[in-house]
Amino acid sequence: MLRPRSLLHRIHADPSGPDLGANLPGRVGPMQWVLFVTQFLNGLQFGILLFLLAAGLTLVFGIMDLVNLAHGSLYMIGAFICVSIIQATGSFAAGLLIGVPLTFLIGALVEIIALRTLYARNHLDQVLATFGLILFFDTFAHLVWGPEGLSLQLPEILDGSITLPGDIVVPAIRVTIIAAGLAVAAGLYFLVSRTKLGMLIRAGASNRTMAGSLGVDIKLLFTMVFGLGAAMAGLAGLLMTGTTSEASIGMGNDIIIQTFVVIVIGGIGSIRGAFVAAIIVGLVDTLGRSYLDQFLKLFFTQQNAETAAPALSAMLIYIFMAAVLALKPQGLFPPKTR
Amino acid sequence: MMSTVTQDPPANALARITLRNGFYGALLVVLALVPLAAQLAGAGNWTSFATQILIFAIAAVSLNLILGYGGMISFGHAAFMAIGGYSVGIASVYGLNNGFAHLAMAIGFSALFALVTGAIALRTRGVYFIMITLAFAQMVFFAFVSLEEFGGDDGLTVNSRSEFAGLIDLEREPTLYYTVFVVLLATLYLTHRIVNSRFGWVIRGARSNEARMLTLGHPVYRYRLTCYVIGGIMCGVAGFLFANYANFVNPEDAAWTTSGELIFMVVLGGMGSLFGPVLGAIVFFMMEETVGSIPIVGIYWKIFFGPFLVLVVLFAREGIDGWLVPRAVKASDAALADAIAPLARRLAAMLIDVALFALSAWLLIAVLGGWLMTLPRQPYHQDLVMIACVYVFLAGILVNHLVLPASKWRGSAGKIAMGLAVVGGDGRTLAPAQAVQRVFGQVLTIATALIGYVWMVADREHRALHDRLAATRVVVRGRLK
Repeated sequence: MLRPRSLLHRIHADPSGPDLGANLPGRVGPMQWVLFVTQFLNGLQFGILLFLLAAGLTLVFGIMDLVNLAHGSLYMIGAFICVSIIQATGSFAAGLLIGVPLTFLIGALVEIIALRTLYARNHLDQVLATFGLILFFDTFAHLVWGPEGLSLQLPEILDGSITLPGDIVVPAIRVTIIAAGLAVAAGLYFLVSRTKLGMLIRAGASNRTMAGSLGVDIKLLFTMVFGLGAAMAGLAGLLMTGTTSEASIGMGNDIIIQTFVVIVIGGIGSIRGAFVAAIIVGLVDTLGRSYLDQFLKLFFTQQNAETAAPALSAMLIYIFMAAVLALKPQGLFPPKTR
Repeated sequence: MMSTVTQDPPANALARITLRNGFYGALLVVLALVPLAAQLAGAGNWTSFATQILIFAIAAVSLNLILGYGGMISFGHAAFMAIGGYSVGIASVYGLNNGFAHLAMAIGFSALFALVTGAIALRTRGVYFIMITLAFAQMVFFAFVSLEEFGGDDGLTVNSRSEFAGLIDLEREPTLYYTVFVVLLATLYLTHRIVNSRFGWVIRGARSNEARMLTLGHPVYRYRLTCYVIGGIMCGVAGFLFANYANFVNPEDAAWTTSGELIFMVVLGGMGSLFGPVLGAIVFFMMEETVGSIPIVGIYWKIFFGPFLVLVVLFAREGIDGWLVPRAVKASDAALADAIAPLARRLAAMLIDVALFALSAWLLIAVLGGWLMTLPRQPYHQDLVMIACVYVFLAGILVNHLVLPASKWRGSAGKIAMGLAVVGGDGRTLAPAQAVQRVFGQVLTIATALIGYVWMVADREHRALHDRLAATRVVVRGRLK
């Protein structure tokens, strides 16, 4: 009698498809460069998606000292909500403009109902309780939207592709993700370093008791920050659905672990670290999947290289993380105040 | 919770017979008789189900050594399950069916993996440790997913179970069960010896105060690593057994949800208690099996399990093991002695609660269920209504038996109606944890065919098993000073 288990844990949709760089071994022609640039952009795009998730997660950890495994659930719920609205209204913009704020509200609600009491608890309690929330949200999505998930039809302007100089053809959605992600990163930087709210966030991060006793409404601030993280996760969910054209149950579980890898490498609590680490992880993961077998062929026989490459490339970011932590146990950019 | 662990064992052997030890003794006897009972009842799948529970109990006990005693929050323990399992699976692909070789490989690879990953992970602290153990497990998961020649993410069928040179025939279900049972006993004994040795005290000391242990000159890092490796090996053996049990290995064995479930078993059973994780495993699988077998609701059992987990974390951190230790109670409480509720009123209050329960259950199943069945089967929308109603039903039970007694109302609806109140020492309102322990006592009473109520009749203060556990008394409201 086997335990009924879901097949939720698929590898995230490989943006590159089966290794495109495998043809024409040894000859570096213009074709190779085009492929490389394409893969590089894919990696960049994946990294930026990871950043959208990692920023919220690392903010929540940095300020509230909360390990939130359920961040991936907000990513999934955000995707489902946005796609539902797009399906209902037929307008991508409506999905974006209603769905993302809605995810903000859901995040705030989750914070108020379930997570507020966890701030005073230890990390084990937080991990376990937010694990419980994941189970709830996954089943909830199954219940409301059915087991098959939702498919997304992109509007024409995002569905096509863009030709960059040098005959490099990139799907428009990927360019959109890179642009949107960079815009969000810039907005977040502005918010945190230039605005009143950002000042409060920084104050809360360096000493929340002090900030509280100076009259900052810490409860409200925490809810806002959590909602902000949820909204960014929801946006990432919608954008990711744009590339895979399907919102599916458990999509958050695949990516949340990679997000954790990002914030651990970057140094938990550091947004700058999250940005750098997200780009690195995105590139390492994507380029590893396409070029690792080529690299291994330099040292091993063709057959051995082709056998080992898929396993090794799937493990690459974890090996990278282990290496970083072995050298710098606090991550690349350890926050100064903790 | 910890006081039960750190106490010196009483010198008098009779003094050791507490409710808790008696419960565990009875549990072991029941576990030893499972195949026999299954045979008599003609229910062969009981043995199979119990085998699965005990295998996960071994894994949970091994995690408890690391997590409960060592204070190392490993979120990647399931990796060892998979490593142990694939030791059997991959060997049998190459036609190697020797059980001794399988076991040696399961132990060897688990130990190696624990040594290498532990050496890196233990350099980190707190949340970094949680994340890095999670990442290492994920690495194992993806490695097995990518190994296409060994089944990839479809998993790998193990054609024949490990052969022990004709000594043990694992193909027979009862033999497999008793093998697992003996391994569980051995794991428990070993854990007991480890945590009570000098080594174990250093590990536990480092959990409460690492700096102090270092100052005393103990090499904490090395001790922790050793503890981590021992726990990993034990879990590797569980994985070896699981592959034999299921005839199948799967990357899912290393999935982080499995690690999360193992942590849940440890926490529910009681961290840092010897038998707690066994109880946690039993309750987890019982819940999964019973809720999972209810039509419609069963498909969505995790929508109940998730919030349950949150509630356990928020209100039940002592775990089941902690509930089995009666709360300290004053021998006699003069202020309460006059107010003790007479049996008849208690019975009436109970009947009201039972009637409320039965009525709402009937509304839920017969009326609502019947009505839903008549509707055209719209995918999911019916299910949504169904689950929402079950939620309301469960919330009602929760409010009646936990929230109300721990609030200023001080009793369930039946007790309020009969003018009774449940109070702790000195007539205080129950703490949430106390109310939880009282409900656990009631469940225990019901599960043991109401034996706990016999106590109530015999006792001068009419305190049943659950009142004794939670140190509560049922009193008449009006007579309370």
